[in-house]
Amino acid sequence: MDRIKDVSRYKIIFQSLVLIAVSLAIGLVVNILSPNSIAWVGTWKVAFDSTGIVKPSYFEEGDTLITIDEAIAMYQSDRTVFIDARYPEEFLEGHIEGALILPFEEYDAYIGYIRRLVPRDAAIVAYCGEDDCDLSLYLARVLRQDEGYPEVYTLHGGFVAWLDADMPVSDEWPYDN
Amino acid sequence: MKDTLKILAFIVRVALGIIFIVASFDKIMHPAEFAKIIHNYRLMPGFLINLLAITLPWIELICGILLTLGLFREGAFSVITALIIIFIIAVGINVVRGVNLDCGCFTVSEHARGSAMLVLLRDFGLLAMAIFVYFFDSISTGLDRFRKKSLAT
Repeated sequence: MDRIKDVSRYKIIFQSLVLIAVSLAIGLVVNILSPNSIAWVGTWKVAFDSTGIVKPSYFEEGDTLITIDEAIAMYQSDRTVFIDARYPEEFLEGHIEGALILPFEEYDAYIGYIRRLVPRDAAIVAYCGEDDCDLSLYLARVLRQDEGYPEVYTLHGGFVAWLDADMPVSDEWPYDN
Repeated sequence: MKDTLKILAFIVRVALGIIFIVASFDKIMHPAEFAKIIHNYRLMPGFLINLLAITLPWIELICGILLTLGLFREGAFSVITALIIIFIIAVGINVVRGVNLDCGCFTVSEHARGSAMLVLLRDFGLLAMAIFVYFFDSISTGLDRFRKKSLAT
């Protein structure tokens, strides 16, 4: 009975279940009392309802999500720049025609292109893969807060929504080198 | 030799417990961020993510404390070992299917795969510690020793 390997299985299972139950109870009570408490059930899959876009759990004050229809309307304007937040490999498989690429994970390597090519007064639309992809929200935040672009939006639904709307796509690389 | 193993197993058991205690702090303080991390693994149905984020850190904390103290050792040990195995499976699935755990996005990047492999390596290290404790930790190095005595009298 000295080593764990010698202890009976029933005892181990019983103790484990009791410990899990006690921990669950404490966690639930603390979440009621804590100032950092979160909703019991979060909104993880971004979706639409009658009021428009349902914000995802990782939505923050200052984020601006736009619908695919709004993005298409903005696409007609010369002032709008679309920026793809995905990896180069994914970008090269297909992206919004005319979009620049700034992979969120390789930010430092690419931000120079954006600084050079995107004027301050541009309307930027960041996007990534699909509706529960959050890279574009993070990218939009950085462009707004760190780079000081005043008008940055995030396309809800990402590239998948763009494809569904039969909008123009390209597989060309936007930079010279 | 036996005593050396016993002392070594005691140290490993305490270290394993402390690792889980420390790991739980940040998650308890920031449940919203932890929920985001669980979301990034893309394994849980949406309605379970927040509940898991609220409760899992407490399982880690309580079992970590008890394992460190050697109190209800078998239960605490089993829960922690089960968690390590679940972590390994969760990360392993995502390494295979190419999900970048930093952002929860599907990717074909080798860079992201590398960071997931490091997490996997760390979890296998924890599993090795647990296996060592399973075979060599003695009840005499924990508080269960007193519990056993009081039960016997």
